[in-house]
Amino acid sequence: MQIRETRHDTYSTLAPVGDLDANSSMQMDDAIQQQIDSETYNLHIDCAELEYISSAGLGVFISFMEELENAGGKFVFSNMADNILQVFKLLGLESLVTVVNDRAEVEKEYLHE
Amino acid sequence: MNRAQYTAFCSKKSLPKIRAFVESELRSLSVQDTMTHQLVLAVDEACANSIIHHHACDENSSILLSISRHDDELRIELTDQGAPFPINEYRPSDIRDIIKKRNKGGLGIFLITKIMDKVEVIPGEGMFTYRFTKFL
Repeated sequence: MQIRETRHDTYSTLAPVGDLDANSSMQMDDAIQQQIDSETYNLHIDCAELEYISSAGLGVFISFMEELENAGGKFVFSNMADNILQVFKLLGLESLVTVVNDRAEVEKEYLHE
Repeated sequence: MNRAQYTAFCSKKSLPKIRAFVESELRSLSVQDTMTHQLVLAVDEACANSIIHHHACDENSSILLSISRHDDELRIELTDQGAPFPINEYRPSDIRDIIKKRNKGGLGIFLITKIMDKVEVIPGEGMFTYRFTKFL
């Protein structure tokens, strides 16, 4: 898995490419931790090229969720394929995180902060 | 009844190959896409648990997977050595508790029990089998 990182004015985008599973979840963990270390708490996860996610991948997001919120930030997920959204739904997670369709909606989410 | 089998070495790098095997077998059994995605996920979770927690990623050990169809039910079995985790007795926590505890674990078995219609642990001589059943 690769993770493309892009910084914007009010948030950063992390775009995983490939499979986010037990084998690759530490990469995502490290990428999020680096953002937090540089005091970026608004994290947009662009799922356009994410092909698969398991509980190990979701667990990474869950483990940072409260920390981001306590610092005034949040995750926004976009461009989710059906099979990815389905995993969020199986866990009942889709109602606890912000899921939007595209980049324009991501911008709106962070403007409302 | 056709039974497809796959032996996976206990490395996290085996997980994509396990998923490819399960997906290919389910497609050959004409299982619909949504169910295939879910079943691939459940098997991936079960195998990841065995590989990471039971075998500590020891690449010299292996697990055996088998997939078979019995009329209107699909049976996926994972055979391993030693003592099983009582996966069939697991009661999932609330997702909000998991978030609060910043807990990365526990979600895999939650997903398996959510996706599968029946989860059994079949003991054997120095080994055991997790049997996951999905009604079609």
